[in-house]
Amino acid sequence: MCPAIILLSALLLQSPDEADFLLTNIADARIRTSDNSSAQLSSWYSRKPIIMTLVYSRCPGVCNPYLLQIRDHVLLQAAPVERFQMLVLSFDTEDSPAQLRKLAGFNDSSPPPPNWTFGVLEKENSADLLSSIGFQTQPVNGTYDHNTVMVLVGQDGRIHQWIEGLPDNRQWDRLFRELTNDFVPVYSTLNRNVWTSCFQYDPASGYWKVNWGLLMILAPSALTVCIIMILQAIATSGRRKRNLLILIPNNHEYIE
Amino acid sequence: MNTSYKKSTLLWLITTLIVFLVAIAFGLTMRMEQAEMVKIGPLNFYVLMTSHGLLMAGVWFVAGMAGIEYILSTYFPVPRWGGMIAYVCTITGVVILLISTFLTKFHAGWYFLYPLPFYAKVMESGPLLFLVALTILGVGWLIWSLVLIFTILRNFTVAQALAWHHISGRPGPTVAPFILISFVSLIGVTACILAAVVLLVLYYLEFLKSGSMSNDPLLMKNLTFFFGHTLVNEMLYLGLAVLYELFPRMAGKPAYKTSWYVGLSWNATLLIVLFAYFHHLYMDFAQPVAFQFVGQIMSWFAPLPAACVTIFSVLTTVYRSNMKWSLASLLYFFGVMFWAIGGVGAILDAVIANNFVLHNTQWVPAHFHTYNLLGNVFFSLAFTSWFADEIGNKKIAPGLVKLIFSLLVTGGVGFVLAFYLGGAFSVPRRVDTYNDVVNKGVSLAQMAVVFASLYLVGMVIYTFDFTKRCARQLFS
Repeated sequence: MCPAIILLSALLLQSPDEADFLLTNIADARIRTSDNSSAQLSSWYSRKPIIMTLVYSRCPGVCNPYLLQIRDHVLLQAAPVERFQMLVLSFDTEDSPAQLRKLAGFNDSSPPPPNWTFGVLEKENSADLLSSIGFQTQPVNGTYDHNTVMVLVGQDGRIHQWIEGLPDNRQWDRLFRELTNDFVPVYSTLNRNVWTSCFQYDPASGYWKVNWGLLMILAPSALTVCIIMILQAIATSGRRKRNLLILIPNNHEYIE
Repeated sequence: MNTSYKKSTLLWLITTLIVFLVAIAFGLTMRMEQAEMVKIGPLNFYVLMTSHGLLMAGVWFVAGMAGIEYILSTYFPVPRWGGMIAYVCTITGVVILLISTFLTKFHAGWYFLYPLPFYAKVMESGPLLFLVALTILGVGWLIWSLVLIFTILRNFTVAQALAWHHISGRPGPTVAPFILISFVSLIGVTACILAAVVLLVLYYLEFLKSGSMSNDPLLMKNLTFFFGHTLVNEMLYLGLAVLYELFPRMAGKPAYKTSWYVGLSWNATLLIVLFAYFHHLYMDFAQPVAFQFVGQIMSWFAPLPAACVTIFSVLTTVYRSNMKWSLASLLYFFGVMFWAIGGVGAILDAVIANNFVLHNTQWVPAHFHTYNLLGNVFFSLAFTSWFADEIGNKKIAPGLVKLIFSLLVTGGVGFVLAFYLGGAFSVPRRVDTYNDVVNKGVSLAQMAVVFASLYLVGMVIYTFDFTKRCARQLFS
């Protein structure tokens, strides 16, 4: 019983995978961007791709350092601001956009770039949005336990990149390539769920590993050799019988 | 010779010629659309492209197989049920294929590259019908191929059929080049049809699991070209096997013998052709670089054994011979020469550096139309002409020989020349209209329409004459 429970919990607690979200539609939630204005999420992504992340300002843990690191990386990369919008949302309805701005280290003397927006999810459809991007949250003593997720949403409203935790250099590189429509050579997540892939490729090391699919390329040739051998065996036995018939022409009953 | 072999071969050849005329009409309509002479729209263009490509590949494959079966039956008794099953499957498969393309508007192109079949459709039933059609064709052809292989193995061991004793100089039964080449080709045919089986199973799985399973595009592309490229090569070799049997007879020379170099070259061909298809994946960055090198090297080596030995044999046969040039011998001789020209075009395209420039241009249809339309088709037409002379009531009129041959060669050469020029001017392939940047494509398409019409006229006369001379034998 006990191992079964452990196994079950391990399965239930398994963290989501990028492949579960790639090219899926994001829920079109309503966002409050100031005390008296709000808009649908689609009003952003329909104009330009968005990089979106979720935090909350009262977070005693990861939100502040996470957001600061993301800010630094986006600003340092000098990503083309006209190509995308940066959306920092709070899932805590008690938050305000101004608090989020402060959490990201911006103030009046160092304002955020023009493509940055801070907003708070309206309560009624926030759950849809959170589940559509695999954001998990649970209230604990007035605060929240949560994971950290950053998504790149295309103008079609679909998730083009899903990153849990802080992106590594490879993920940042891919994200900016996506934004600038540069060629993305490898989606590392693809092979994990496709058992028929010919090769596993680790883009970080550039190392190839042979996978099951290659066997399927070889299968037709191997199968042909087997079939020819079987036909040869059947034909040889038939030929022996015929030779026997020639040697003992009057003994047909015996042969049969 | 049992008359039932003649009748079944005749049935195959008449069917082949009729389907060929229909497929030419499809191709001609596509070129007319590109020439802005008719307006059928992109959807119908791709419907025609899918039907045209598959019908052409299929029809000349079965013509080659029919030739092999007929000549093989002059050596040993061949079970007829293999050919009969294949015929029923071919007719059924072609009907379902045409329903999938024309009624459900399935339009993924002749090699239905993954994942296009799931998108290039108008009705949901289109891809399924298409897959069913391919399955039926594959089952029929696989059975036919195995029956012919078994017929050879009833009389020779594998080593003997592959002429290993001729190569090593050990004693053994005499194996005619026809048997060797047929055996080599049929092994290749079996392998590529089995590749199609694996491919179709993966397609069915994805189709039936409707989204919960996806295939690896690299694997699917490898399997697609293992099947497609190898099949197209093997069907050429089927035609060559018959050529090795008939051409010396036409020249009044002794039959070809399987010397060590003929044996070696066809054994090499058996292996090389299975790896040459890698050149279709040069653009696939995920394919390991080693495979790309294998593809390039095998593409270079592929024509050496078969083509060089065949060209050498054909030239020496003609040299100082008493050849009476009939339509059959003319088609064989020129077929080999055009095959060589198309082969050079193919090798140029198979060089990685060239492929980056030529890959999506009309150079590609140029080279494969050269060795198919003017090579493989000529081989099968040569066999058909020889067959008609064998069983027909009377010989073809000499004037008609000149007319048909001139129309086929002039029409064929002009038609492929338009493609080659298109390739040289970077005119893209697989598009129904040309924009201003490549507007040369329009005038080249107009040129192609004229020459393709000549070819079509030649084929109509040929088919009419063949049917007139031989059809009565079917019911005798």
